[in-house]
Amino acid sequence: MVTDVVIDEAFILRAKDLVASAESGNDEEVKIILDELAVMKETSLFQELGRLTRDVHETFKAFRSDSRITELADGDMADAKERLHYVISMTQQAADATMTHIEAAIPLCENITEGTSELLSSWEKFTQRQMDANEFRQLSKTLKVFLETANNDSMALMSKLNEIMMAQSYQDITGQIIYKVIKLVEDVEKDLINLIKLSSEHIGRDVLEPAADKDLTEVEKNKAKHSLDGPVVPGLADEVETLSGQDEVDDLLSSLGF
Amino acid sequence: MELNKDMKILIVDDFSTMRRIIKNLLRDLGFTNTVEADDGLTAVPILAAGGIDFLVTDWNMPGMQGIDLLRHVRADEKLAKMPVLMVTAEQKREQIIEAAQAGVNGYIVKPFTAATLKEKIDKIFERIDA
Repeated sequence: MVTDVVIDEAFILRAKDLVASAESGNDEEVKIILDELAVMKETSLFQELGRLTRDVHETFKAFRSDSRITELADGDMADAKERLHYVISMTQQAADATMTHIEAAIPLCENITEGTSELLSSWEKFTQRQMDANEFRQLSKTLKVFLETANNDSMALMSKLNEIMMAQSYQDITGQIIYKVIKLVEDVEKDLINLIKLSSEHIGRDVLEPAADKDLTEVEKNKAKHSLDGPVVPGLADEVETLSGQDEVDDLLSSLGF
Repeated sequence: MELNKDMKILIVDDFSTMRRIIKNLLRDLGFTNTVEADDGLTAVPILAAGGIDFLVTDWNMPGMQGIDLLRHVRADEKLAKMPVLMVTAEQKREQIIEAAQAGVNGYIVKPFTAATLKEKIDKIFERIDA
């Protein structure tokens, strides 16, 4: 508030003159000084208003010229949406796969249960010696068929359980993607705080701007450092070359002598 | 030479679901002697304690990344010869080259199948025995 101080000093000097003139009874001089003081007060008010207007203007200019903000809005936010959509589709696929395998596994379990119940009642009859030779031959046939079927069914069941287990791998990949989006939200938060700092600095007329700039480049640096890590999201334009699966990875590695 | 099914395998991944999946797949392949760590930093003391024969690690983890863990293993005289398999969602060309240069023995991209895991493990130990 440099201008205010100068005006205050001049104002006090003139005010002292006013008191002196009033005491000496110089009416003419008193009138002149009173008018001068009124003008001085108005000038200071206009100067303050002008300064505020300029500050508001500067702040808006800073908002517009901060490319990071545009980048966040145009690029990163769109990326984040794409990533979250990918998470939805991955979790959907995993849930669908899990349900499909469970639906295929249930009849296998039912077969085994049905077969064992039937055999149990026959076996009961046999142990109580209530079974004739014909019935026993029948039981022996049924038992053979059941054991073969149950063997196949339990192997099929095992494979369904394995498929269900593999379907859970979505949790790792979607988790990594969500971590990336959380990181972006944190970056946006930091940038917004920087902007608030920047605008309050203009109004407060401080010279902390270089500090705010440093924070922004820090964010940029982090972004550059982390941009390589994490799963590939289809549909996202990556600046680095990515391979589309195990076969391409194997080809690249064998070209490197693996 | 028959693969030693008793070898001790360290599985490093920050997601417990993935560790369980790998552990179960390894068990299906006959490897039941496994230990787990949730990132490079927790893996280092387990490796230092000795007894680990094979390392299966993710790449992208908090704390210490898998690639740094691999470099740590290769730089340590006592661990340098240990086979390392990376199982990761990272599939950028330069990262695979980076892993190869750091001395990885096998590289699997997620999501993967049980068959891929078996194939890569067989290949790693065929080469070592050859």
